[in-house]
Amino acid sequence: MGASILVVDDSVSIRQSVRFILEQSGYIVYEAADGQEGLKRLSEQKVQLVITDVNMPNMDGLTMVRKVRETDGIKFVPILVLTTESQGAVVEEGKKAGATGWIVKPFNNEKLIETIKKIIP
Amino acid sequence: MKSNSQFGKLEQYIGPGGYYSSRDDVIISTLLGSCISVALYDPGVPVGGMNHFMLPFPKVRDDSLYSSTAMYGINAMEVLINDILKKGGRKNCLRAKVFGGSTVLAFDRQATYDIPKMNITFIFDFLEREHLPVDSYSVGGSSARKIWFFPQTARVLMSYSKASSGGLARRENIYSQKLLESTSNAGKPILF
Repeated sequence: MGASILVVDDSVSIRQSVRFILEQSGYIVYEAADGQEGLKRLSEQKVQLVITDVNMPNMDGLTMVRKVRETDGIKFVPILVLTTESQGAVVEEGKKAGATGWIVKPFNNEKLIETIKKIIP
Repeated sequence: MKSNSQFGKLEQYIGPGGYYSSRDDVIISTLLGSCISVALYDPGVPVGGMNHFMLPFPKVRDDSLYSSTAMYGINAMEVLINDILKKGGRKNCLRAKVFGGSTVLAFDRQATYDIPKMNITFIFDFLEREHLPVDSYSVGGSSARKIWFFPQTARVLMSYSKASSGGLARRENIYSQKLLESTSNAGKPILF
């Protein structure tokens, strides 16, 4: 059975597109619409990887990353940021927050899967 | 930005691949052929913005919203939405006006892929999925459209343009090629 991945993005279209790509590669996909919902999902469901957007209502992606890193039981889950943000300062903020990796949209499907395989072989 | 003497306001023109948003009393304008522009606004703030995009010609036919070409459209919408949210817009209050998708491309590809139709189908699918209500639209046909969007009032003025469809088609074709070429560089992953 494939590894489980939580996709956190406020855009339904992005969530559905990423789900489609991941499921084609055999991953099991869960979804959340913002950081708050992502944290709730993580408390209920064990996943091997989180893919998150940055700009979201209620709780943004980097705040969620910081909260995950402070929470026992989930603090070591790898988190890949998938965002339109490409500025060095924001990427650096993501690194400091504890993100595992960063991909700028629009992404290449094959590169996304390659990157996931590097994180969770 | 240039000064528009007819309206006495500053005007920001956006070309293919561009977007602009503002809370100020300005005009955002563009000239569209087969491309799509979405004027998106939160009237309660008020703040609004507009983009100008198209889906690149696909290498293989794939009309689904999950295709890699559709990702370019999703991305064009996401950068506009994020820009408006950064200026105080609220996602659940955003409303849209949609323009473009006319048949001005006179290239061989037109026979294989109906690019304007693909662009139109994409944008209405996207707006429905994202629960963004459409207040008005003018799409299809065979004439270029000139658009002036007033983000403070959400007002849009549109005129059919006599712009050279050959010139517009060439510009859009170059834009599409650039989009495809950028695929190989897109989303270069960084692992920390």
